Amino acid sequence: MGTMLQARGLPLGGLPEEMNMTAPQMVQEIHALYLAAGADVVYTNTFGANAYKLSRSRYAVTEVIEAAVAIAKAACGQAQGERRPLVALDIGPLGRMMRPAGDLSFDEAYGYFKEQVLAGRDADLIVIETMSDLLEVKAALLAAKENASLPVVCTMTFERSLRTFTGVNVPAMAMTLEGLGADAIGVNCSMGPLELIPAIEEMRQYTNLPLVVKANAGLPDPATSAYTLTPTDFAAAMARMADLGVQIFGGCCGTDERFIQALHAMLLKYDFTKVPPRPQVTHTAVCSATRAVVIDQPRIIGERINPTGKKRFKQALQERDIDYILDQALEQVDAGADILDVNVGLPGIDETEMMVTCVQELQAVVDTPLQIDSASPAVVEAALRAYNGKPIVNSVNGEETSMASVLPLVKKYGACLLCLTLDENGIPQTVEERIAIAKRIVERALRLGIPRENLIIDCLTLTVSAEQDGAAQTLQAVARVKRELGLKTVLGVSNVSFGLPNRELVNSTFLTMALQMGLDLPILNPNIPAMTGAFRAFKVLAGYDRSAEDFIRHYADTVVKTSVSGPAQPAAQAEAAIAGADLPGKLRHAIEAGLKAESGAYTQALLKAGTSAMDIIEGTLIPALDAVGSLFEVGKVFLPQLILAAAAAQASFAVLRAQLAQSESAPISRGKIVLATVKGDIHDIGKNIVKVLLENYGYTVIDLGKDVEPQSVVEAAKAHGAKLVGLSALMTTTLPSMESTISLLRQANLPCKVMVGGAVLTPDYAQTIGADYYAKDAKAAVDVAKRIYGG
Amino acid sequence: MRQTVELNGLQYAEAIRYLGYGDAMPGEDVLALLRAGEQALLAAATPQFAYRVFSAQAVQGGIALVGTQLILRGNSILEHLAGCDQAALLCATLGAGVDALTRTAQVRDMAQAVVLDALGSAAVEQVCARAEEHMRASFPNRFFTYRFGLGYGDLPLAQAGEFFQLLDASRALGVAVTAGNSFVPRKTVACVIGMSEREIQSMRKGCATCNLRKTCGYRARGDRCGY
Repeated sequence: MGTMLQARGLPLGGLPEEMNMTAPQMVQEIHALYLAAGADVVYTNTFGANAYKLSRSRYAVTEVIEAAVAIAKAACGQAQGERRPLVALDIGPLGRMMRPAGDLSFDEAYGYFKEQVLAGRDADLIVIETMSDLLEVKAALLAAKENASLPVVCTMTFERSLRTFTGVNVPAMAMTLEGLGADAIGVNCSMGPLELIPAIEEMRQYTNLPLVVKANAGLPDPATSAYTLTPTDFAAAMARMADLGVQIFGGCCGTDERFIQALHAMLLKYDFTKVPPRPQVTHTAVCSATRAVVIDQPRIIGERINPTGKKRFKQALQERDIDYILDQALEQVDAGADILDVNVGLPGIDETEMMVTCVQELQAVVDTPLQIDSASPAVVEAALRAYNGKPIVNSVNGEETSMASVLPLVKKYGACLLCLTLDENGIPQTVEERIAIAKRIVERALRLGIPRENLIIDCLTLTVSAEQDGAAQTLQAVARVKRELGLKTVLGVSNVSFGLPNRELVNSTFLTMALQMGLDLPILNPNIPAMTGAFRAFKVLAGYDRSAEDFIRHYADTVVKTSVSGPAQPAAQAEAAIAGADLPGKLRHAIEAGLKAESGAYTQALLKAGTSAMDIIEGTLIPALDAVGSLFEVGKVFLPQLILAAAAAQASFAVLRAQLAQSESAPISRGKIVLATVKGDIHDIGKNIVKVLLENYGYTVIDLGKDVEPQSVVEAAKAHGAKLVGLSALMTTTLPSMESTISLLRQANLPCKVMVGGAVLTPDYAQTIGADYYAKDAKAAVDVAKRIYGG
Repeated sequence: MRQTVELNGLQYAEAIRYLGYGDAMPGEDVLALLRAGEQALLAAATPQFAYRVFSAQAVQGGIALVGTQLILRGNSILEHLAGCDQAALLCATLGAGVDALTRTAQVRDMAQAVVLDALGSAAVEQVCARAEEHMRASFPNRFFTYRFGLGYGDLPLAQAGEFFQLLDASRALGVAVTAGNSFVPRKTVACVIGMSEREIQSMRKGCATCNLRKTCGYRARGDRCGY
């Protein structure tokens, strides 16, 4: 449509959607050309008719879309032929990037799309096309499903790498959108039909939905930008798509009515009865936007993001220390977790808000699919909405209230679901009863339309020291679920050994036994080498890890101790060296040189030798950082080294914090500082450098992140009683929001000082906008903090 | 014109300069970060550029691009394009993968993140240089100005939205602009290159048009960043 309008006089950079108002006849003529060429569906001229793109138009979204639908309907009304052609409300990308890459929130995106859907209610169907961000498609699809009852077709745009610009891959797209209730999915734009064959071949392995291809007229010529395919070639290439089971065909960039005519002629002659039926997709799979995990072999669910029984984790939740949670995620992923369980329930915190924040922050840094773990349906729904991809929900059980509240959510958002084989009477003793509960849940889920393969049964692990025969019951139940119900199974492994010595040995043995019985998804702590070791060994022995490739990669360099009374082990030697003289000097040197592991080890040794945490901080950590800071100021040491030193100090602090959390002492803090990158600014690396340095001087940083509303800064400063607020802005265009944040802080009459920093700031400008301090770099920010808090 | 670019290596010297080293050489620890960062960045990046050449006309308040509704505003762009009858709009990007990589690095290892950030800036300049090579080869008898970035001098960054629309940058490159005029992906450059039949006596790139001249650490030391 855009190309056609430009050929008819739309200026470059003009808004095609305005033509619905200024030249409706012309738009209708273009529809008529396509209808005459044999099109069954015409897309309204509304690709960019959203409130963001039309903000520079004198026309409003609703009038533009209503006009566009009326024009398309009028064209269809005049079309010749037996079948009434359909009008599709066309919805393209908003033109703004969603978080975390950009600044658009899910709710804002949803709001834009909702306005479009409501305005286009008279269309026959909705198409969401040319998308590259899966979360944006999700916002659009939910807006369509929740505000209209029309069929919805979703197509995304893939590069040669079979990923979209934001990295979404084909399996993730297919399973997510099918789960969310799209009526047909496929590919548009991107490339020519031949280049899109691999995308469709992959897509049909991950969905049972009807497939759509709306290809370009080949690839553009590098010299002239003209597309390379003729209408005849295009139609011939599209026939290959029909061979793959594609049912809806169209043309995108570079095509015109001649291409549709050729396509129509090809399809009229095409013998669809000869197309082999598409293989039915029945595997269990989950994904993030960029990574799919198919449960076609055992996969590890990491259990560490959970406050139960973990003082340090509880403290992190109370202090909103999201970085700690992200560290827990990365550590587990590095150790071999395929999926991460996320549980952030703790009395006294807003679990819904915390869960949504964690889901978003985790998805910004790991591509591992998540398992949303909460007892509250409201928390689960909020997380399901925010999640980018197809997650697992943990969990439902056989109780009526549980099934009634959780199953509809899982159906609506298309997630996988852990089904616990317990009910209002507790955990049944016998295998028989557990199977009965599983069957009950499955039956209810199927009635609601939840696909069978999305249900994962938890036969429940009991503590063997309390009920010794329980382990055998659980294992038998796993085997029977696999055999009789044909469903995937999950088990929390770690609790089996509660109350016994050498728990790792019991856990890893139980894990192997359970895997042999057919356990697909063990929930465990992947940071324990014995657990991942047993898991990987099982995968070799059971034939999943072909040629033991993965196993060898992990253990090729492992030296196995065969005797405990042999010569001194290297670890023991290192410990002996650490225990030597001048520990503070060694720690200081390790920090100055940026040596993380050594810093941690010397700190441990100092604690062991009886030095108090505060003495270590004041006597060694801070002077070492000061020394590096002074060298930085005079240009003898540079930014990366300054940060390396801070990271080494961080390793030392981590040891001290763990010790203090264990002894239930008050956490170490030299004072609270609120940090934020101001509203409108998404550049946060500078702020994060300042944060690392401040934290390692012992300050508690309340990090509000980037693109932060002025009001949120005021609220945080008030809530935490921070004496210092640090604001960062990189862009000249966001300096005004720095100014308004400061003025709001002043209006609130808070007894806090404000320091500002960022590439475009000057000391003069800082003064002009009312800041108390200008910090030219991270070291200067620490100096300001010292002035405020002393020391 | 849109093209994907294969980068075979990154220019450490540039990255080291961005890290503030000036003439100093980083030690082995930071060199290791540079090597690891280069490898990760090359794996994560999907470098591309797109450009489009327009006839340029000086008008009241700026330069009009003929056939479009865009007027590039300000005195800086008027000066920059003095003597040019055409202007190329160029956008180069490393793609969203580098943003994701840097986000993760900021959690894992801030020093690595800072080095990645500097390497990313060097890399996107390399993509720009490749685009320029392409342009020079495509227009063999023309002379070119240096790359004048949106936001340089008084050329408003706020024109990024219209600029990207003319290049169809969201569809062609996956590039967009935020409400605060930041580019997404972060390592994206948008600039204007003047084209002329005659050799261009234009001022050199340097401190005069640089918006950071007041706070620049190099200038404070009586030094130059080299740009």
